[in-house]
Amino acid sequence: MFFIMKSALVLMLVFSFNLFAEELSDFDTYKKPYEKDELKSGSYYSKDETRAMEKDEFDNPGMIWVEKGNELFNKKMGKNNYSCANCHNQNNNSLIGIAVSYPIIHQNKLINLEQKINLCLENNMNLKTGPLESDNVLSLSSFITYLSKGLPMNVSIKGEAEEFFIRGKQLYFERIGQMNLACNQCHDNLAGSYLRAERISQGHINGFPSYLMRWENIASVHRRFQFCNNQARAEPLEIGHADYNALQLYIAWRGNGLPLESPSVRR
Amino acid sequence: MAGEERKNWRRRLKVPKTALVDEIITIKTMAEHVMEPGVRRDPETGVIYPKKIIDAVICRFNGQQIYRSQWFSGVSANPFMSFKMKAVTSGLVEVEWIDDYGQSTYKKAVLVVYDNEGKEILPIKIDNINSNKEIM
Repeated sequence: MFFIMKSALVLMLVFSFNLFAEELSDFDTYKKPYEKDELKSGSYYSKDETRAMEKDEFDNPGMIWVEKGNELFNKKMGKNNYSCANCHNQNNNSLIGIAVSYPIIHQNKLINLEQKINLCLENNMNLKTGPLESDNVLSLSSFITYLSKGLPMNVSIKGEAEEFFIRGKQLYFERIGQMNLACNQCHDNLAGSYLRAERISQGHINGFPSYLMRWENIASVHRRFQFCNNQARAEPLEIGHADYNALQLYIAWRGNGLPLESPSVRR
Repeated sequence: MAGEERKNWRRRLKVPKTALVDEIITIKTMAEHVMEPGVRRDPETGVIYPKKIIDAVICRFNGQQIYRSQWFSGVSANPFMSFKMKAVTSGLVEVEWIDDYGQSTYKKAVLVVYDNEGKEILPIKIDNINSNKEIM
């Protein structure tokens, strides 16, 4: 009896591994979950009041950070007494359209916009920079993102970025936490249905940095990822981690073509 | 850059630039403020964050108070408030926010009101418009 059960178990194991292998062979790395005309931004799923709040530039609380960022951009700081506008002249608008292509490769590493701002402040302006989630860095990044509002997302995954893209895709489909959840289970298969009182979005990040009403503050993509991980009862990584950057690259790529709408308002 | 304390918090006020007489206009205000209710604790140390809220918002039109609201703890951060007003004469709209520490900030805007013939209605009545000629 025991041998029969054991052999049955082995058979089952072999069979399941075979199934898994078949799934993997069907797994196309460059297949997007949504076609270009099926893409819907997060504001499509939010409530009418929230959408009206986001649309009006006065009602939108995220614009406070954009104005603050504009002020910081023109303020002279540091030992060299430089302002950001000295190099990136605001009238020439050399920064229009750069936010759609982040995260990018910088010295063999993948970095996002906030890290790039910190690097620029450290190297060119000799400033002591704060943490990535600080108010000043976030207001600068939301101002720079606001400059390219309305342009379609266009993230490149060719060349050096390819290995990070594959790592990000692996993280997206990996089951984590006590709830044993992967990102794709909700955002690919169940988008549009209700999770308690809120509708599940397709999980695009074209509205970030966005004003989240639950924190009454503007939040970066990485802070939102931490919150997602907490909800699946997994241990979140720190903000600015390489894995979060890879995940951000994959999620931005699957929403390529959506217009940027930062600062958006979410619940 | 880090650890620098800001003193001038951002206040926003939106008043329509022009209005017809007897038109009902909407005035929108938004203040950047933490609105700490005084019951939250620091998750690591357990120390209660001290209460800090805006407790009065006053609107004056040409120096005269036309609107006043009292706020208590429970109002969200970065509070948005709007109210309606009947346009009678043109003048200066001032909104003042007062902290519970007594700090007050204000913001002003100018409203111009026209009558149906297209003339501006001034807040003061001038009997003799050509008074300049007498001085000359």
